[in-house]
Amino acid sequence: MPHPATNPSGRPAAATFVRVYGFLLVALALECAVFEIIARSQGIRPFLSVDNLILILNQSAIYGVVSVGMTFVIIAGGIDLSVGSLIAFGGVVGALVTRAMADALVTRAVADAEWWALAGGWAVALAAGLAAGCFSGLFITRFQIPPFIATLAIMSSVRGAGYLMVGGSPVSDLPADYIFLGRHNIAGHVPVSVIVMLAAFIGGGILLNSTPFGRHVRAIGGGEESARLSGVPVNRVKWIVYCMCSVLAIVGGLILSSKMRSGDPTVGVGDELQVIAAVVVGGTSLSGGRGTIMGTFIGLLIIAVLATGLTWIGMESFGQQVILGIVILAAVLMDRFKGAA
Amino acid sequence: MSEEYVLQMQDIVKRFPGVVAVKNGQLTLKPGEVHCLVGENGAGKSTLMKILSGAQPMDSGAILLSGKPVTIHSPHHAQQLGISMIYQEFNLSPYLSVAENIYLGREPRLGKSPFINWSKMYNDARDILKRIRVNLDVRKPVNECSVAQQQMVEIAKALSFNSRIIVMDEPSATLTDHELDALFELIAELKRQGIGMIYISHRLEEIFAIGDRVTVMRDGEYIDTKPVSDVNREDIIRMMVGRALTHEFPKEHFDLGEERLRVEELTRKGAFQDVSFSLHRGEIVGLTGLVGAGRTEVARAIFGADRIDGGQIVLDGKPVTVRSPQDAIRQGIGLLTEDRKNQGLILGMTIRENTTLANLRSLVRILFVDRSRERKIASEFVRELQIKTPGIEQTAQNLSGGNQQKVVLAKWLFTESKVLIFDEPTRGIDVGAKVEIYRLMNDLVRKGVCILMISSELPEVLGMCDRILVMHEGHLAGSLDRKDATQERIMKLATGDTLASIV
Ligand SMILES: Nc1ncnc2c1ncn2[C@@H]1O[C@H](COP(=O)(O)OP(=O)(O)OP(=O)(O)O)[C@@H](O)[C@H]1O
Ligand SMILES: [Mg+2]
Repeated sequence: MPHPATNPSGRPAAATFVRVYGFLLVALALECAVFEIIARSQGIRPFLSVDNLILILNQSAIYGVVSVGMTFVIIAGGIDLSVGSLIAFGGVVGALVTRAMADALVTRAVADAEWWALAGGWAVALAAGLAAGCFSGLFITRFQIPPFIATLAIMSSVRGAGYLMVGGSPVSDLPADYIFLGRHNIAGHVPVSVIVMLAAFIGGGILLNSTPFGRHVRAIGGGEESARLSGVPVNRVKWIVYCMCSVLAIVGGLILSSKMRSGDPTVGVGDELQVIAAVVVGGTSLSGGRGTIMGTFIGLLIIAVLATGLTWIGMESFGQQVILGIVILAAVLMDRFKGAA
Repeated sequence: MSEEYVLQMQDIVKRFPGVVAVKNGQLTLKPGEVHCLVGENGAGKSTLMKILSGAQPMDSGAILLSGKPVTIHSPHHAQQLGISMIYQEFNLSPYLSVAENIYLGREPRLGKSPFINWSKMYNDARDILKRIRVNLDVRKPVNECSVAQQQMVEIAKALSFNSRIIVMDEPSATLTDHELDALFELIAELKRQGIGMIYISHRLEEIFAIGDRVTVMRDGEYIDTKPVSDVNREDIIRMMVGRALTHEFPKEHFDLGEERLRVEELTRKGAFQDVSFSLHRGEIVGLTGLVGAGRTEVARAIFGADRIDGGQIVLDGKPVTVRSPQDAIRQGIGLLTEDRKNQGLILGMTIRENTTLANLRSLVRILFVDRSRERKIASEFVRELQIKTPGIEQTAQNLSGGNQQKVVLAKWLFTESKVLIFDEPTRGIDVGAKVEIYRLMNDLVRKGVCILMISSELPEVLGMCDRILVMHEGHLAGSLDRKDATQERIMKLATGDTLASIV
C-alpha cells in the first residue's frame, strides 16, 4: 500500500503539514462547526469559546498523556493493554503513599510536609509504573511473548494489585494540596493537567521526530528484522517504549486521582481502548511503522470535542458511545481512502 | 494479423506521483512463445506487467486478448481472462498444503455441500503437477518446500486457471543452477502446450537459452522488439543502456596489505563447521558454493546475526566478540543481506531514512539527528549510485527492485565499515548498474576496506574476486586464486571434490 505521509521530492514543510494533517484538521473543524451550529440553533450558549476549549483540553488531559506513550508502542509494532489498570494503580499508590507520608511528616512538624508527601507519592507511583513497564518489556523482548498477551497479563495483575492494596474501597482523607495536578490552575486559567499533557505531547513529538531513538522506533515497527540487521538495538528500544508508556499511564492515573482527591482502584476500566482509539483516529497504523504524535493530538481532540459537544447539546452517554464508534470507523476509513488516492 | 497474438499491449501509459513509470508500453505475445522483457532498473517492466495482471490500473492505452480489447479490473479478473503472474515474492499461504494452495478459494466441493472434496482436490493437484512433470507431494505444507518448489506451485496454480498467458517477473533470481534447469524444462513443456510466457530477467544469458523474442524498454519507453536469433548480448545491452558497455567487469588490482579479518574454526551447529579464512586490505574475496552450502550462514555469524557455537573472529589483529549486528557495525563489519525486502529495507521508510539507518549515530548533534546533513548525504548517494527516484523522500516500497537494492547498498557504504560482506549484491540489478557497483567496490578496496562477496553468479565471482572460497555442505572445500580459478574448478569444489584432486 502506498505511504500517504510522504512527498517524494521534498516540498516545503508547510505543504507537507497540510498534506499529512489536513484531513484530520478539517474533520476537527467540521465537528466544531456542527456543534456550534446546533448550539446556536437551539439557543444554548455558544460552543466555541476559550473557556470551553480549556474545558475540553482539561478533560482530555489524562487520555492525552497516556496516548503519547501508546503512540510510541503502536508505532513500534506493539500494543499496551495495561494502561487502564495502570491509571487506577497509579492513583492508588500515589494516594496511599501521600497519605502515609503526610501523616508521618505533619506529626513531626516538618516544613512543607504536604508537598513532600505529594512528591513522595508521585515518585513511588512512577517507580511502580516503571517496574510494570519493565515487566512488559521483559516478557515481550526476552521471552518473545506477543505484546497483546504480555500486557493483557499485566493489565489483570496490576488491576488486582490495586484492589489488594486498598481492600476495595478508595483511599480518601488526602491532604488539600493533593488536588494540585488535577484541579489547580496556573495564572488562574490554565490547568496544571493541561500543561502536563502539552509537555508530554511536545516532548514526545521531539523524541519521535528528531532523535535517533524515534527513528529506531519507527524502523522496528516498519520491519523488525531489517532494523535489527541495520544495528538497531531492537530489544532495548522496545523495552524503553513499554516503560515510557507505563510511566505515562501512571502520570495519567495521578492526574485522575488528584481530580477526584482519592485513590480509587475501580477507575480506568476500558481506558486502554479510549487511548488506542485516539491514536488510531490520529492516523497511526496498528500494524506499526507509521504514525505521528501530532496526529494523535488531533485524534484526541476529535474524540474529546465529540464527547464534550454531545454533552453540550444534551445527548446522554449511551448515544455518545454509539456515535463515538461511528466516528472511529469513519476516521480510519477516510485514512485508508486518503492512502489509496 | 491480430489473431496471431494472444496478447497485444498498445501505447500503455502509467504515472505515479513524480514519475512516469511507463510512457509508451508495447508488447505482443504469440501462443507458445517465450517473450523476454528486459531493461534497466526502473525501466517500467514490472509496472507494465502489473497492469497486465490487474494489480495496477493504467492511465491510458489498450490491451487486446486474441484481438479483442479488454479492461482488466483486478488480479482475480485477470486470472479469469487466463492471465497469471508469478511474482518474485510468492503469494502462497505458508501453512497450507501444496494442493490447498493451488485451489485456494476454489476448493472442489462434495456435491453441493459446503465441505471440501479432499480426494478430488489432491487428485486434481497431482494431475496438474504431472502435466508439468513436477514431482512433489501435494500434501506437503508450502513452508516446507524449497523456493524452487514454491515457484512450481505458483506455476501449477496458474495452470489450474487454464491460463494462456503466464508472466514471470525475475523468476531466476532466487534459484540455484539445478533449479533453473528445471524451470527451463518446465517452460519448454508449457511452450509445447501453447502457453505464451513473458519472462523478465537481468541475466541476459537466459534470454538466449529460452527466449523467442525480446523486447527492450528504457525509461518507460518501448525501444524495440527483435527475434532472439537476430541479436547478440551486445546488441541487447546497447538497446538497454543506450551505449555499448566496454568492460562488464572493471576489475582493478591493488597491492595486498595487512590482514584485516580472520575467522578461525568458526562453527555453528547444523549450518557450518570449522570455517577458517582471512581477508586482507586490497582484496575482494569471493565466497561461493551451491545454495544451502552455508555461505549466508557464515556471513550472518560473522555479523553477529546468529550465534556461533565455536571459533574466533579476529579484526585488525585483535580478537573480537560480536554478539549482535549492532556490535558488528560498531566494530566496523557490515552485511548486505540477500533478502532486501525483509532483511535489508524498512519498506515504509524513505530513501533518506533507509540510507542512514545503520549509522545514525554519526549524524547526531546534541541528541538530535542533523536533518540537513542527512538530506545532503542521501542526495549524494542517490546521485552517486544513480538511484532512479523523484527524490530522497520517496518511500522504499515505491522503488523498482533494482533501485531498492541500490538503497541497501547506500546504507552500507554510509557505515564506513572496515569489512563489508556483500551477499548477492547484484541480484536484480541491471547490467549497466552492475558495472557501477563493481566500480564502487574498487573504490572501497582502494580506501582499505576489504570485501567478502557471496555470489551464485560465477562470471561475477571470476570477474571481480582476487581469491575465491568455495563451500560444500558447511565446510570450506577450498580456496582458489584468481589465476587458477575456472568455472569448472569452482563447480567441482562446490559439489564435493577436494582441492588436491582438481589442481
Ligand atoms: N507504487 C509506486 N509508486 C511510485 N512510483 C513507483 C511505484 N511503482 C513503481 N514506481 C516507479 O516506476 C518506475 C518503474 O518501476 P518498475 O518497478 O516498473 O521498474 P522495473 O523495470 O521493474 O525495474 P527493476 O529491474 O529494478 O525491477 C520506477 O522509477 C519506480 O520508482
Ligand atoms: Mg521489477
